[in-house]
Amino acid sequence: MKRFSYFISTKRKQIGINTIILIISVACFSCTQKKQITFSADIAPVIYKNCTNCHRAGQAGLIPLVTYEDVSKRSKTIAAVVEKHLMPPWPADPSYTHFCDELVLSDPEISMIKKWSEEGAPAGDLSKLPPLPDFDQRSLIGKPDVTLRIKPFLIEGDNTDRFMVMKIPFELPRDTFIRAVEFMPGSPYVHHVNGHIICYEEGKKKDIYAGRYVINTEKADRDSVFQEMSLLNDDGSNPILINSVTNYLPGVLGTIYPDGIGGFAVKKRGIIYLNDIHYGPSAEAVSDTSFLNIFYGKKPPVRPTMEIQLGTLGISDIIPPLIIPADSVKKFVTRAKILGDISLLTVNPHMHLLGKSFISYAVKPSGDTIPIIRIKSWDFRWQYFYTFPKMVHIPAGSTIEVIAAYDNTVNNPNNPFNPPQTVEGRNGSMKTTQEMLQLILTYLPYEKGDEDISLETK
Amino acid sequence: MPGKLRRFKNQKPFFTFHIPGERIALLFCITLFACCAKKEPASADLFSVQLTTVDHRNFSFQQLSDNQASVILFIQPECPLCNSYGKTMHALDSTYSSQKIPIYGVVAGKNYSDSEIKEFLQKHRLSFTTILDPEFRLKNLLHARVTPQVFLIDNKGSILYHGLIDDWAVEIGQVRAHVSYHFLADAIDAYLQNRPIANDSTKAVGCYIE
Repeated sequence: MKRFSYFISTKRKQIGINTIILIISVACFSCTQKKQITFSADIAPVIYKNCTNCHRAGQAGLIPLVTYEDVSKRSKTIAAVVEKHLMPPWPADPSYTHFCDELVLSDPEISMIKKWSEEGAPAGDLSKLPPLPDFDQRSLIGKPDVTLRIKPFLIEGDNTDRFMVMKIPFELPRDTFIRAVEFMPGSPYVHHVNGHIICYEEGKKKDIYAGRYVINTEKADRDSVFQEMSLLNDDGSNPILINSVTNYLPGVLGTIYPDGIGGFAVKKRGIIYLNDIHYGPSAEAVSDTSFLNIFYGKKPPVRPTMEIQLGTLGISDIIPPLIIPADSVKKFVTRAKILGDISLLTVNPHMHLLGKSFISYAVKPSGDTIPIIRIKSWDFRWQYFYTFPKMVHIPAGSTIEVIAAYDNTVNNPNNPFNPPQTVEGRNGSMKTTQEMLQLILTYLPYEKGDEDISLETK
Repeated sequence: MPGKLRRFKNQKPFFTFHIPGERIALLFCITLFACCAKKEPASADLFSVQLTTVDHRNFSFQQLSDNQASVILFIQPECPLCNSYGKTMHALDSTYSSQKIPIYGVVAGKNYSDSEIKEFLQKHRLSFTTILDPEFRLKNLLHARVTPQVFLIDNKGSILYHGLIDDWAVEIGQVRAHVSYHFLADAIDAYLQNRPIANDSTKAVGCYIE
């Protein structure tokens, strides 16, 4: 009897264990079923949102990330570059301030991509793929009123970075208002662009087509550029200059501020002056056929934006003067007091190859600080014009501070000199081997309610 | 705390096997260690590999024993660093092939068509023999991970140097302004001059071979 009962109880135990194992394995199975990461359900939305805009035919990201094959066959490399935060490129620290069109993957997104790659990059049900975003080849922000093309530029296949200035003359039907100018790259090697408009009063300039169209800035200074490109009025006086009408960096969509904000009045004859068009290195000769889209405004800009810059060429001194001794890591400060209440729209920190870190904030009269931007690890290659999602109110009497660090040691892989040489910031220098420290701010006189106006273009 | 003291008093020897089947475990560990330790492939392994070139010709690695030494260079046509290194690869090939140290390009995996590979070679004027390794035989044998990655191999099949071409590459998408250390060229020169190779390995960076 005893034996029997013992036998029974063992069997019961056995059943019990089996049942538990079964339950666990079913649970595990359903877990893995649930947790299997697939391209169509999980990965594609992240890639489409953050990568594909640049990583498609003709764009700056030379490796296409459009189809499942594109992404799966490079999944290990993709996992590695997102884990190291090399891609997507977004130097601004999102734990400090946020900006429009931010290209930042969250930690869970990064782990998901890594896990997906480790699990063999499964496709999932490709019939359920989300639709690709609509990447218009002509414009990313709307239907332009006028399109201006650059003179095709031949990038030699010599693996060298090129920093050019370029002019694109234009003649419009009449003097008008422009709401936005959008730069569209005509080659994947266009790395960044900063453009201004120069326009001429009636009778001040005979030939806007005279002079050179393109000059390498490494071999020129600002004055000779203006002369060789024939940018000045015929009598040698300065034409009308409208600063920073367009800025381009891969991945960042053009900005159109809300109706009535920004924009500018232009004369019918003028020049779009790209004072900085950086071509990345190419191993083969290719032609760039970039173009600019112009969007007219219906009425005069009600609140035209203003621009100031701190530091080099700007309203504030750099302390101490920008001299970076060889083999040193050195910090510099520049600050400016804001006299009236302003609303900040867009900020652009600028340094060259020795840049290491950059932070800017405003200190209110009360002593409180308003964060503006922090770049922990400066990357010369990614210099965005960062637009705040909503305008940032800086009250009168605040001081905007910039602290920038430079690394002029051999540890900085971008150091143009080996062995390091003392590098000075020179006003007006266009050479990347010299240094600059700038914070360019686009702002408006503050009006009540500015903090609630969204600056998101889409 | 008293528990800890008691254990101290017990004075158990540090390394004892408590698990059942310890001998099997020991054997397993030794085998694993032996496998891990065997980093450099025996010449027999490498020289027995037969693959085909991008021009559809058979290639036996046995022929490496006829060279004084050889460079095996893993490349991928779309890898940004491989493209940046086009000129350097061309220069290395023209310098050392004349000194009887030829470069062999290897494209591992099945991600690239023959025409993509040929286009890459043409673009950078690279005329070295390029071998296809679709099943990762060579990649696994040499433990290659990324591109570009080089292996300098003597005529007995020993690896004299492996890793970066030079210190130009910092990361997948970044190169230095200046090259300070020409690791591969230095290793070849030292070998040719019967000097010891100062630096026999570096950690290659680049696109994963997948």
